[in-house]
Amino acid sequence: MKNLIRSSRAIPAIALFMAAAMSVRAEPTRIGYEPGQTYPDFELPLLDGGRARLSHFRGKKVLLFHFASW
Amino acid sequence: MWQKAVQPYVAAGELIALGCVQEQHPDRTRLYRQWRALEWPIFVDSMNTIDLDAVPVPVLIDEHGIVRHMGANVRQLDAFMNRSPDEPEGCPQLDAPDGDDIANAPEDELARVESLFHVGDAADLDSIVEALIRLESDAGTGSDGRLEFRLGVAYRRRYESAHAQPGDAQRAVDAWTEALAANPNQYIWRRRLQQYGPRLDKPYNFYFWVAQARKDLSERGEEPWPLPVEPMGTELAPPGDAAASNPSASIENRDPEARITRDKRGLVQIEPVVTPSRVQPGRRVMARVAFALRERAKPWWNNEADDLYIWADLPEGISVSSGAMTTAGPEEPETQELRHIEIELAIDAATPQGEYSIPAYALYYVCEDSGGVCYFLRQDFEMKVVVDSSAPKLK
Repeated sequence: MKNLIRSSRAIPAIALFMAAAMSVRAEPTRIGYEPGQTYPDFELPLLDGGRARLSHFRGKKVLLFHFASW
Repeated sequence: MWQKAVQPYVAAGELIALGCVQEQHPDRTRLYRQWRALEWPIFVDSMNTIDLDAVPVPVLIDEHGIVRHMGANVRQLDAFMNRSPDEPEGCPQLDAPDGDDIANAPEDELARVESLFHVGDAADLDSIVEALIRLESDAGTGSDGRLEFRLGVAYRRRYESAHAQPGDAQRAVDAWTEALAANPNQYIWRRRLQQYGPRLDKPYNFYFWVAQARKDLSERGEEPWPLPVEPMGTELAPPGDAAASNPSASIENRDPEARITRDKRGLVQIEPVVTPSRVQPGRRVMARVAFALRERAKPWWNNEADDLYIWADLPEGISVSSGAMTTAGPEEPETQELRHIEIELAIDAATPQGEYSIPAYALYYVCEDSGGVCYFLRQDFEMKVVVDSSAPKLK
């Protein structure tokens, strides 16, 4: 799962989350994990408590939005 | 905007919208989510367990777990949703571990440590730190930085817990510095250092939104989510050169003969941290000194006397470029808050490489207890700056 995505944009991650409808990118994103591949499964805590696995949502289409609050 | 775009599909039960946040302090995300009224379930990945190199990254994943769009934009959403759920060809099973996963004991141990970090509490941080150090030692040289980054996260979490050990804040920065040195392309690791680093290296003020969020939430009649660890100082500072009016003039050796009584009982615990822990000549570091009153002695800051003050015996080639050597207390006569002094140190381009241990001291007024005996005390400490032409640049 290493080097999943590589990018270096000096845009606040949070700002892009808020303005993501535009999806304007300062630089092309170099992506190490390509469409057509299985997204790696993971299990992590949820903000509201408890834990979940990504594979728990198998069978549905998923938008997984990686972001930061800084 | 994604929220609005996906809402019809989510409401129809055709799409699951999930967030996954890279954040040292999940409570800050809770406040952000409350402010933005985000309704999605959000994974918390403080340790960057999934080894993401950058954010933000929206990913559209189909029914079979196959990535259809990486770094997606909303214009791709409708086409993605209208795509028929074909059975993919040649796709590996998501849940089946491969041979490497089974045979790779260090990865299993790392997964165990990460899991303990996620489900455990502050009492587990000692064993988490020990396990990460052991893994790092076993890995030897040539580390890819993943262990160092996680170790920094654990140290910082412990520093901000009741299980803090002296030096944890600096250890976190040391680990993050080495992580970035191992992989300078890691955007998330770089941001973690910039969060605590000098202003010239900041791309923006990281938690600029917190004050606005609280204001907006209060106007909405909501109680803002409380933050156990408030962003402060350099975490809130805007980027740029924030030179004080005349920082060198504020450096005054007020006790050159060391006659002020030492704080032998340790009423105040001083924790200096220099970010980054290695710096190239010609660049800057942020020196942040935290002053915590030790609970067992029940001391109070005496705000009716002079302000807390520090002095540092800076070597040639290192100077204060911004910040103040003093910090004032609140208006109340006696308080018990955590205090900080932040100064930026400029490393001259001609400064020889090496490790510089900078002698420093603090002068402060404290009382033994509320209304008790008050003292004017001095405590010596050191700040370490490592000048190294191979140090990673924060920007």
